Amino acid sequence: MGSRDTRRIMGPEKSIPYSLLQTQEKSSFLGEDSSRRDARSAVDPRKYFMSLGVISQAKGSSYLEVGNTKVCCGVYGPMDVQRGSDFNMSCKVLCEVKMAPFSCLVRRSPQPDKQQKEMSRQLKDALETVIILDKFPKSQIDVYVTVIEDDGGLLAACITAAGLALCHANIDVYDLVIGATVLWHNGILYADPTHYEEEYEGREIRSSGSEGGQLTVGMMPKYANGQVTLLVQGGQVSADNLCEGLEVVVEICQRIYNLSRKTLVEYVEQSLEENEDNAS
Amino acid sequence: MTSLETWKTFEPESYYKSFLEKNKRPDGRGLMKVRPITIKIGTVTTAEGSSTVRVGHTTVMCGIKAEIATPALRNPDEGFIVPNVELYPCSSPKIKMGPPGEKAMGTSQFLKNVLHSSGVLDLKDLCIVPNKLAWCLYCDVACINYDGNLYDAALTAIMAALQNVRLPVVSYDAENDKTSVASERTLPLMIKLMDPTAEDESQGSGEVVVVLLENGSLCTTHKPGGQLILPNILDDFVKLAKKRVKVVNNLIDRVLTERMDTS
Repeated sequence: MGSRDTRRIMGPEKSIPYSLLQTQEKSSFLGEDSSRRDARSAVDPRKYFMSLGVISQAKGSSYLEVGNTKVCCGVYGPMDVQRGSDFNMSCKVLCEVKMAPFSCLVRRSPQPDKQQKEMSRQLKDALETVIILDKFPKSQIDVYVTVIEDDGGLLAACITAAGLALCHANIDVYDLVIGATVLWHNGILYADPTHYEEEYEGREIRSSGSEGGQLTVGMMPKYANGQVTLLVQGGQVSADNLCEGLEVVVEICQRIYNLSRKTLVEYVEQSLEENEDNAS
Repeated sequence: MTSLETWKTFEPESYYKSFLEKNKRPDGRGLMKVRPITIKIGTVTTAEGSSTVRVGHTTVMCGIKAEIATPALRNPDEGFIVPNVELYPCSSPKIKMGPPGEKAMGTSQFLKNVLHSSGVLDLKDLCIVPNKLAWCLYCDVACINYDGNLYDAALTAIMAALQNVRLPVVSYDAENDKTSVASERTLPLMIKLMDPTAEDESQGSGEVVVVLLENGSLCTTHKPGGQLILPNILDDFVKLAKKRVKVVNNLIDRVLTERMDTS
């Protein structure tokens, strides 16, 4: 755990997750009837749930559930840049992804770690191309993502949640940004992998060096002509496979885009109705 | 900006006074009226026990992760319970990035005091093999939306989550010094029928937290500075808190039985 944290209540010096002591069953990527463990077809994403305005204090906020992956995003700003930072004619974007200690199978220390820093960085790079930065000179936009539960496709979920929250905060963007993940296993493409599938594939690549990997894409499906803002690929994939994967991802993004759009429109309609009710 | 917001920004004193004169608060509540509270349990599947509590807009989630540790030398037959509060910067504009601030640290310590002094959980129950193995329960409370009354929400969340914890059976083989853990999580925690619930009243310039046990005895009274109050006002708070303890406990019980029925 490294150095002792004086700002938090610490437990015993050493404790181990009990899963290490459990007898490990021999696992396989697919379930018994050679379909995916959650009975999805290979190209089907999991169930999505989106809602807006969950954080009353934030300018814009969203909550996203992809299967068991749960993330929550709050957007603050545009506001004045922090004192001491350089004068800039375009907007500064600040991103932080925080994972709750109970969000993973093994408890993670609440102190910031490299994975969170890396995800914050990737999210920031993606959002900087989505927000119309020139519209907000000398100001700063804060995007905070809290991960409540991680069950695979985390970066993609963070991007989608951030895109929704930016729209909810009335911040000018080129288009709603959507994230999606695909995974190769044994030469077959699986959409929207769960944490179990990601871990399994990662272990297999490390141990046998077989071909396989995953691809996360953040893109703007409609108004920005389907431009890709973020593309992260890991593992070993041939170039032809990557193109094929990209096509599948784009299709999934399109589906999620329609859903997000519907959520936004419904939210606007609902708040308009409420306003009318209040007026009358 | 509406004219009401303008008034609030430029003349906050007269704005709040105009509500107080009518014994109301800006959100239309009476001065002694509490916000609606909703509790859900089992909301995080990666945690051994979890709950989500909403008090008005304030949303907190508590997830309990169980790990196995060696008991401390001083108390060889006791386990550990480690409560921590994380105030995430997404929950409020006042919370900045970086290490936990005073508010989070204060609330963590408060939760620790309450859990240890109320005897909600006998730490001896968390011991598996004296001097060798004990459970360590990390109770992490994540604040998703901070709109006041954190003490109350955090404590309610921890209590609800503790009652949702299911641990696997651990067997220890003394000869080979081997430990094995069952794959199913079956054991519920033995929670004593004493359930602290906090009540705090933000008075603008100070707050009072009263923690009561189910049998009506006071467990913790916490008044971190702020405006001076008279003893008889504290009496009123205790009375209010007693009413609330009943409401909250009934709610937790109802959620738990619903959960039992479905599973």
